[in-house]
Amino acid sequence: MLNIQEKKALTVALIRKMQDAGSWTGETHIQKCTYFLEEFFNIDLNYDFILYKHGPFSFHLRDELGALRADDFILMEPRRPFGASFKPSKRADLLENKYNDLIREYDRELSFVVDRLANKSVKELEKVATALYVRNTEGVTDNIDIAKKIVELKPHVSLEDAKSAAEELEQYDNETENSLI
Amino acid sequence: MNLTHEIRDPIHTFIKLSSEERKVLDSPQFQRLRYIHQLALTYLVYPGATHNRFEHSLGVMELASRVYDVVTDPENIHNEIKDKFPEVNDSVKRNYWKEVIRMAALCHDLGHIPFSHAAEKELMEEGCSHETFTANIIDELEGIWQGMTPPLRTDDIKKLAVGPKELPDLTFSDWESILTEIITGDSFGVDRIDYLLRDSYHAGVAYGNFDHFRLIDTLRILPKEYADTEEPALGIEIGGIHTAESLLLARYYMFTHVYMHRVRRIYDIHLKDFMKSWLGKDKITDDLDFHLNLTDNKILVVMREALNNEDKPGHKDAEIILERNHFKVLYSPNPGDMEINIDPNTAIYEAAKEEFGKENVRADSYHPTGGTYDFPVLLNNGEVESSVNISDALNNIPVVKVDFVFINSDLKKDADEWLKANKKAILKEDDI
Repeated sequence: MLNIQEKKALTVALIRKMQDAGSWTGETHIQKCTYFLEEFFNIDLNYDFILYKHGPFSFHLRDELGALRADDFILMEPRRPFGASFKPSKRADLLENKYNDLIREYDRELSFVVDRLANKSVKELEKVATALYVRNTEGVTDNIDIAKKIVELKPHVSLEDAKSAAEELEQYDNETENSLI
Repeated sequence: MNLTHEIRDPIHTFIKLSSEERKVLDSPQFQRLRYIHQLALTYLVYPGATHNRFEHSLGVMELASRVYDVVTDPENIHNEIKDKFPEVNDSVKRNYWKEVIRMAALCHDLGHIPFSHAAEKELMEEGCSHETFTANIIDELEGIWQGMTPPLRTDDIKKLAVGPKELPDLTFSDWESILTEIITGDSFGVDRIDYLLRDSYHAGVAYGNFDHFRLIDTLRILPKEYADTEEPALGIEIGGIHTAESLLLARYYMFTHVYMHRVRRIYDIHLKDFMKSWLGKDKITDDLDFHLNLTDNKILVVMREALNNEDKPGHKDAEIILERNHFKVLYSPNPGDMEINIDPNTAIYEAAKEEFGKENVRADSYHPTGGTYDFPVLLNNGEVESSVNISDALNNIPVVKVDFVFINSDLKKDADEWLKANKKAILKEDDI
């Protein structure tokens, strides 16, 4: 398992990549990207995700973002029209330099997640992250079954949208297999 | 709901209960809270802070009830989300949930171990927390819930009292999430409103006070379309934004001046050391009979016994606490240290342990949990905006964090000299 400082370094690196990609980098974006790092790529970040706000959500990660702000590794600033946005601070360089090797080790996973999720809307993130949640926690693999379960858990999501989310997840599987991540 | 019983309270003047609710109050599980200090050993620094979880829980119930009445008033529900909450237009359902939220608020702290939060993680068995205890005790009170009119579902009370974090197996509807927010929410949770008002009153500091009457009158359930989400949240009318700022500033000042006071922090650590010695290899489990008898009074009695008998476990810690010979601050990071080391407190702590022995050094690092102060604000033109786009004051409230290294008071002078001579090297060396 990664130690506390390593987890902080990876989270800061993720936020930097999201910012560089033009993401709003609100809490929901960070939550869902981190969820994919942990559950899609099995990176041992050890945040406990439960099904809550906009799909999988970790209170531990929320507290960790608070800790990163308290340690002055990230800053919060308003971003119209959305709300709070996070970005690395000047002090983050210290952390990223120290854990440069670790960040490089996970660069492909970070890039994969950021390329696919960082600029999605919150509604889109909710669907695809819930699809992954259903697949991993319910052991459901068929796209139609995943879609039905998403609708059961999130009644405001249509079956068609849920099916698209399950298919998108399948597409991610194919892409990772092809790129040998 | 016939509120025939009245209890005087220094913060809310009168707190009223029905005869059915009184049964909870009279239960041994709730009466135990009379003997759990709200602020642990803070009374060693602020002598007035001897208040307990009993009065706080009553206060939280009173405030939850007031907030519920305001935010579920059909006149106050935003048009865009009216259809999401059929409960507000159905008087039977609305009354049912009012009783649930009152009982959840009343019971939200039932699971606290002695001296409230101090070192809960290290003292309790893995997987246990005061929230899991609270959920278990609410289960235990099922007979009372079943005897109420109408009967209350135990799971409903548990959900609202404990929240989703500690109940991952239960699914929360939007309605239940909002009601949970009323009790434990990061911005406007009534738990927070009551403890700030009550703690500042008893500690004798004015920082925690704010106009909670105005705040409550302006609370609303609002859509968050600006954030591209269909999930509503607890927010505020623009007319209440300054009271919201006051609340969150009060929190900042109470944390920096009272909750994170260096002497209060070190007494928490000494108390944890004592309780660990007293428990030996054991941990506090979810045995409810054991829990019911475990109060601050019990701990203070065994601490006094340990003080008077060198052979008793925790003798040294009891001496430190009861004879007020606590460890002193050796180090707390300054901005310059933060620029050259990612974790200067730990670096100094590790070096000091090596120099002066593990038994003579303690470290403390804490920041409050929770998210940002990002909540919806209803503007005069009917639009809803994020609070962070409205209030510069909210955006500029610093994030509280304390880091301390403490040293045995007998070694303080030597340790100061040692630190002065070695600090730079320790911080640099650690970061190479």
